[in-house]
Amino acid sequence: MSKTIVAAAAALLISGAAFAHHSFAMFDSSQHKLVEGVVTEWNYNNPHSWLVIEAPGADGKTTTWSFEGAAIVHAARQGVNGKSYVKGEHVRVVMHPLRDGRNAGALCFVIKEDGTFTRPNDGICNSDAMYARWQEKGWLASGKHLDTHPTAD
Amino acid sequence: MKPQSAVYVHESRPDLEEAGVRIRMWECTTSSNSYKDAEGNTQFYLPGDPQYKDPRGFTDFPDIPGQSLNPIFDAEQ
Repeated sequence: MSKTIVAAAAALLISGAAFAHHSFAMFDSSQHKLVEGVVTEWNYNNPHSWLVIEAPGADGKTTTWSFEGAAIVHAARQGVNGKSYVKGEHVRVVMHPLRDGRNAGALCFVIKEDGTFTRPNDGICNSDAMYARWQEKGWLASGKHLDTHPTAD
Repeated sequence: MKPQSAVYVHESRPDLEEAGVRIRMWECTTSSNSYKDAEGNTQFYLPGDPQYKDPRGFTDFPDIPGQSLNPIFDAEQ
């Protein structure tokens, strides 16, 4: 029974991912920003997955950040699943921020504490050109390269 | 009037099951926090906003297998 349900879900999620759910105009793709913190939620959902982390703000207080990632079918193709991010683990997230300045952005990629690179992205972050840009800047070689990176490029 | 019938054919996907795919996740109305603002632009309700809803959707029958909101990332909820 449960496998039947999962199969039906798979068919629906694949068909559902065939259309664009919304524009990406709310994100500033001219900027990359790094946010570093601890995972509180990994919502492996359609129409988009969302990674939520807690990160220290400039004033030292913890703030919540949310990052929109790919739909399930795209994330799965990129090797990301429902177990990829665990609550409490430390991650570094590179994203295109919201234009309105709120604590959220389009997820470009995530580097885990052990250096693992993951990329459950879509839309403006999901292109060969963007990937090449990250490589050119040395951001993908290791998490430590991000120390010199971030706030604008 | 003739009774209508339908045949559903499915293929089991244990790989998706293993990957954490859950049912209901395709329902945008229950799992999406995007909305159109007054200017016609897409925006998001974020955690902490009063309109923000659990992106994992809702569960009508939490006792039925496959219906639980209990996610892999947080077994406490």
